[in-house]
Amino acid sequence: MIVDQLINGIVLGSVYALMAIGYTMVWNVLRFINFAHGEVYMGGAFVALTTMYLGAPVWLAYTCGMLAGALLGYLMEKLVYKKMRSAPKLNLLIAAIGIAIVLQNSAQLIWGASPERLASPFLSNNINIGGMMVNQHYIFIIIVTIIVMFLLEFFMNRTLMGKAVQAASQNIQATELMGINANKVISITFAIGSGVGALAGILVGPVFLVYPTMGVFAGLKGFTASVMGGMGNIPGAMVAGLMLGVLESFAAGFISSGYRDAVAMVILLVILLARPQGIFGKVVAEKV
Amino acid sequence: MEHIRKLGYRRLGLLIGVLALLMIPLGITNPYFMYVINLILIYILLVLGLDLLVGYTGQVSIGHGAFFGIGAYIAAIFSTKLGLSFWLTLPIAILATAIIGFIIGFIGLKLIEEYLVMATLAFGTIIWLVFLNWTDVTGGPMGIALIPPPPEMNFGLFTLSFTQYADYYPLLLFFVIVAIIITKLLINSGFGRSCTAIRDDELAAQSMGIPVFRTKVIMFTISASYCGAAGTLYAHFIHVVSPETFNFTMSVTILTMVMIGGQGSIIGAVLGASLLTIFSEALRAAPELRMLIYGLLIVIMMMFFPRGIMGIISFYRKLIEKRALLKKLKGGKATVDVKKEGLGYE
Amino acid sequence: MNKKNLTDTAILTVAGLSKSFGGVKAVNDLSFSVKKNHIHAIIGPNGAGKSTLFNLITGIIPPDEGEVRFFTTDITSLRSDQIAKHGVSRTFQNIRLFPDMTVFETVLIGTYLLTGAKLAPALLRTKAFRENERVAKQRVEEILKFVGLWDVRDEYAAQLSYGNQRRVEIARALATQPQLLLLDEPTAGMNPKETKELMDLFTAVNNEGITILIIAHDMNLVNTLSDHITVINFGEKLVEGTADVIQKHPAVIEAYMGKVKVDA
Repeated sequence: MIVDQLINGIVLGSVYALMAIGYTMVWNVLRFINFAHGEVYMGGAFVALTTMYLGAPVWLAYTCGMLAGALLGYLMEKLVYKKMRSAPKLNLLIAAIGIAIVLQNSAQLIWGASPERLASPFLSNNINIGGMMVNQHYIFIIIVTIIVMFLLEFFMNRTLMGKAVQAASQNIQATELMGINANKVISITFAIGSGVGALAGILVGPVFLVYPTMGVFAGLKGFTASVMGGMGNIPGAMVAGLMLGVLESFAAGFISSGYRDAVAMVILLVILLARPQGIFGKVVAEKV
Repeated sequence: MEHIRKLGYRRLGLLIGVLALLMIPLGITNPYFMYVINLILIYILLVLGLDLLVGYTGQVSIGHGAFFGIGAYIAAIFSTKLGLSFWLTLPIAILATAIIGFIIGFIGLKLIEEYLVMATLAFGTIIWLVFLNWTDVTGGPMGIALIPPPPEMNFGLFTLSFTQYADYYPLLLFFVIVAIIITKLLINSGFGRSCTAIRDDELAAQSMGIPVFRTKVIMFTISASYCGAAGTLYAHFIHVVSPETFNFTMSVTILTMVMIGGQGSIIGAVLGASLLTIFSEALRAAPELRMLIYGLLIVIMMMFFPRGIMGIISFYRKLIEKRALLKKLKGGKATVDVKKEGLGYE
Repeated sequence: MNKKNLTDTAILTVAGLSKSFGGVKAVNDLSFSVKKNHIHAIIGPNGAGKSTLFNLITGIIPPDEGEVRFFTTDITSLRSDQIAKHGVSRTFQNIRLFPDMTVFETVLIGTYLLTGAKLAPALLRTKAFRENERVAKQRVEEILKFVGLWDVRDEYAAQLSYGNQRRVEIARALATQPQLLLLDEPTAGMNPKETKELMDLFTAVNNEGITILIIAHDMNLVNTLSDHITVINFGEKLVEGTADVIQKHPAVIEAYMGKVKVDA
């Protein structure tokens, strides 16, 4: 039972971690919460579903879903957020919510409201780990998450573009002055964050099904994880996502499943009040 | 003398306006239209409440749907389980939402900007989950039905008994007018001015002796109680409350109305609530496209008209004034700038 | 200089005040006192910790060590609104006006301490409330006439010329009815004419019995106006005294005049 919950928690947590990365990366460069990120998660899953329906093999469908997610994030920024760089944060927030509404309802128009299961080559097989029967797809989720995290870590710290993204999160104006194209950096940030978010949606598609509003709570949880890890802190978001998944899974298993979604919200409130810089953040001196 | 006469005209105008508003049900026989108009009035209350916080104090909440819900559920529970009438549930709900608003404000307003937004979002979601899961009290996903209408009101000449939508209209209109008057009295006072100062520059406001945190908490409390009142009216008007009415979408809808109407303006609040409600009801003819168009409208408004409808209106008003001024100055060397500089203090 | 009633009563006492930011000591064990009715100038090179000192005195940032007293009251750990209530008001180095307010509205904000913000009287529009509002508005009128902004009262404060924006800020501070007025580089970026006009204003304010603590770079202003000067550098007090004493002090000449170009 406990091990079951733990594995469920880690699987959930992997998804939250992947979602959190999108929020955190965008926060890093633009200091704003992309409330439409949950819809990228949904959009990616639906595109994967359709691609597979058209006869593509699983790996191709998954890749197409991810690319579609990245494109969606890129377009969102290009068409809306970019035009609002100098607008008040509140306007950006409402615009993001507007985009979320548009995407959810477009999905409903195109694919309908009923949940559908995304195929997975591993879903029907269980694997025996030390006497425990674990679904192979769960293992697949965990492995893919770990690979993505290593790739991101490599990209951010070992490539020129990754370093530009990091520099941009310190100070976007200064980055511009140093000859880095800030617009390009922001586009890439949105594309990568969204691609990873779409991957999260694709990975859970076979387990939790795909439907137009699937991104709402996933978005809130991923967002909570990003706050837990400290806004803007990518490794922090990853660890926090895992923690959140495990906590939620245990709370749902041992307290009440109806309030499982409340766990994340309570954690979010507590973190904001007690440690707004996140579990792994350090206090930044305020400037007057 | 001149301005006293002007004031007299203004009062007369207002009186005629209110009377005209009262006549509306006489001209509308379609109960659905009456339903929509009543819904608009409830939204106006909500938007006025949130605008006090967002527009006048500069603090953003996307959890005010929860206060609306708390007001509605309190009315539902107290009237169906304890048999209390509307005139008792209303003050109870206002008081309760004020207290909860105070507590949430006291905790949350230590946070600034985005962090406050996140905290109110979390709060709103938690309250919604409580509505959904605390089945013994809230009826769970089914909610609470059979909420009684307000008791008959006898005015001597005529009796107002709440049997159809049109009967609720005068009652709702009364509360909207009261809310508008309270809002006006509030914002045109030392308290209201201090809120505006906080919105514009917190540090400067505090340096002028304004207790920033306390002022924000008080405004949050007042704002929450507006939504509580709206919730009670809603419950007794619709007779059913269920959790999905008070979810995140409701909070977003109220905030969107504030933004589309134009922050910090009573007329803006009325316009925002009216137009968005009408718009969304009108689109019921195309249910698949309804929310899609709604979302698009929000994005376009935020991109191109960041200060909402009132922003557009004041832009054109300024344009007209400027043109008139230029016309007046035509021929001379004077330009608008010179006029401004010419009014120096020497 | 006007003949005025210079006293020996300390209106503000700063004792052993220290503040560091990430290991850098912005203000270091600083002590001085401002006498009532004086115009007291704080001078020092850029980065000497002058603005930090103002922020410490007005409670915007808490000090690491030390004490600030207003007359005999300890105001060290008070919030800035409480300090304003005691009678200390200020202007900011980078003018901070309320962007959506007219000149009149801006200065009216300064009357908060006079009108208060009680809700019940405001909602009932009691006689006391209306009287308070009337007094506040009358006071704003007096102040605007005093600083010479009455004619532009309905213009947006943020759209005025730089010199007039500074006047609005001073008017707003005066509306709080301060006993001590803190001015953070009020003449920075002004042309000589504007500077001269502002100096006249400061003298007039001072003649109303308001003590002024002023941060300034303009040595002409400092020498003309101030009764007492404190020179700080690296957050520490270098020397203090009257203009004559300061001008001749070798440490000042070396640390301040020697490095910073001074326009006469």
